[in-house]
Parts: sequence; structure tokens; C-alpha cells
Amino acid sequence: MELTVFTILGMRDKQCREILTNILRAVEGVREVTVSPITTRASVWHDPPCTAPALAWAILSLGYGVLLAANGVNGGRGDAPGERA
Amino acid sequence: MIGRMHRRERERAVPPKHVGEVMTHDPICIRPSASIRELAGMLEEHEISGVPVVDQQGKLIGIVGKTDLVRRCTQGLEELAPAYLFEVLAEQGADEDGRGANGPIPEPLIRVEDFMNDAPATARAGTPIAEVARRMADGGIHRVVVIDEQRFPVGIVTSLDLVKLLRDARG
Repeated sequence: MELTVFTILGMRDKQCREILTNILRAVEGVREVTVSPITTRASVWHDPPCTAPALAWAILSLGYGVLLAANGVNGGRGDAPGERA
Repeated sequence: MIGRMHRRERERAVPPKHVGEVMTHDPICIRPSASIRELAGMLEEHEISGVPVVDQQGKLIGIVGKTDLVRRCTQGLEELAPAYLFEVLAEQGADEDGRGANGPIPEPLIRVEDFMNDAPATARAGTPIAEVARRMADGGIHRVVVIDEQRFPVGIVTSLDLVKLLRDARG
């Protein structure tokens, strides 16, 4: 499973968080999403066929700006919220 | 003992026959020029799955739902030039501190009119429920907008409304 972290530009409140969370969860291959209006970051754990550009496209489509903050393979272990020990 | 029927019993004894009896009145509507984010916010705020689209006069011109929104946001990537996203990301990340632009975010280019269904299923309040149900089932339609003679939306009927009707009919 891969973790991609985006900085979201234009995220203001809880409603933005809900909108982004719902859209990102709808992308095929997405396993888990956390979005924080405080840090303005979205962390997405995903499997193929989902890719970072596909996630960025979904965010951009909603009219938010997006920066790729981190992207890497975690080997399917550990980082997803539901998988923490 | 034959006595008076309670109101609920009477209602159950006479099941609704027309769309106007089961529709949600005065549905929330959206403008075609609304942004995709406005639509997402509206669906989220009101916990609904779709809304009629109306023109400046308030007349029905389309319908748009959560499925359309998700499809619009998750498809079309393959149509873009490969470098497009990298250009966007590079432009937004142009600040010296690497945290991205703090200025105003440009208005989204995607509007409701770009991806709405401009041939919404409609019915009149006096249309028999059975007829609407048949059209929904045959056409794979999840919501029908109820309009008046001037095409103003006066209600909306969803597939869930009909399922609830069936549940109530079975007691």
C-alpha cells in the first residue's frame, strides 16, 4: 500500500474536509483517507490502479489547489490509521 | 369490535396513488453556473444525493447527483497531457518557502452545467406512482423531478421513496 500526502490549498473548514474525504474515498484503489483542515493536509493510503496524479486530479477538479507533500511506498505495513498497533 | 380507525390505520388502508402524495416538496435546487465545489457542499450540507438544476427563472433544465460529481472528479485524467498536472503542481508550489501560494485560489473551471444531465426524468404531481415506478425501473433512474405546467420543480421522488412506500404497504 502506498501513502501519498498532499497539502491542500483553499481548504477552510469542516465541510471542505468532508467534501475532500468523500471524493478521495471514491477514487478506485483508495483504502484510507485522513484530511485535516488544521494542517491543510490530506493523507491517502492507496493501492493500484490509484496513483498520485489521479488523486491530485480529483482534488483539482473540486477547485482546490494541491501540492504533493510526500509520496512513498510503505510496503503494505503500518501507516494506515486502521492498521496501527 | 368495529370502531373508529386511527389516522395511521386509515392512511395504511388507502395507499397513495399519485406522485404528489409521496414526493418531497420544494426540493433544493442549484444553478447551472454553480461550481462543482458548491454542488459538493450543498449535497454534503443537506445530506442529499442529487438536486434539480434550474435556470434564472427557476425552471428545470437538468439534474445532477453525487454519482455525476464523483465521476467528473475521478475520470478524465487520461485525457490530459501528461505534463499538465506537473505544471499545475509546479505553479502552485512556486513560493520560496515551498509551502505553496497563500493568495486566492483561482475559481474552479468546472461548473454544474458542464456535467449535469440535461434531460432529467420528470413527472406531474398527478402522475400515478405505478407509472413513475415503471419508468424508473426500466430506465435505471434514481430520481424524478415533479414539475408544474410551467416546468417549475415542485417536488422530487427518489427510488428510496418508492422502497419506503413498499415497506409501509406491507405493514
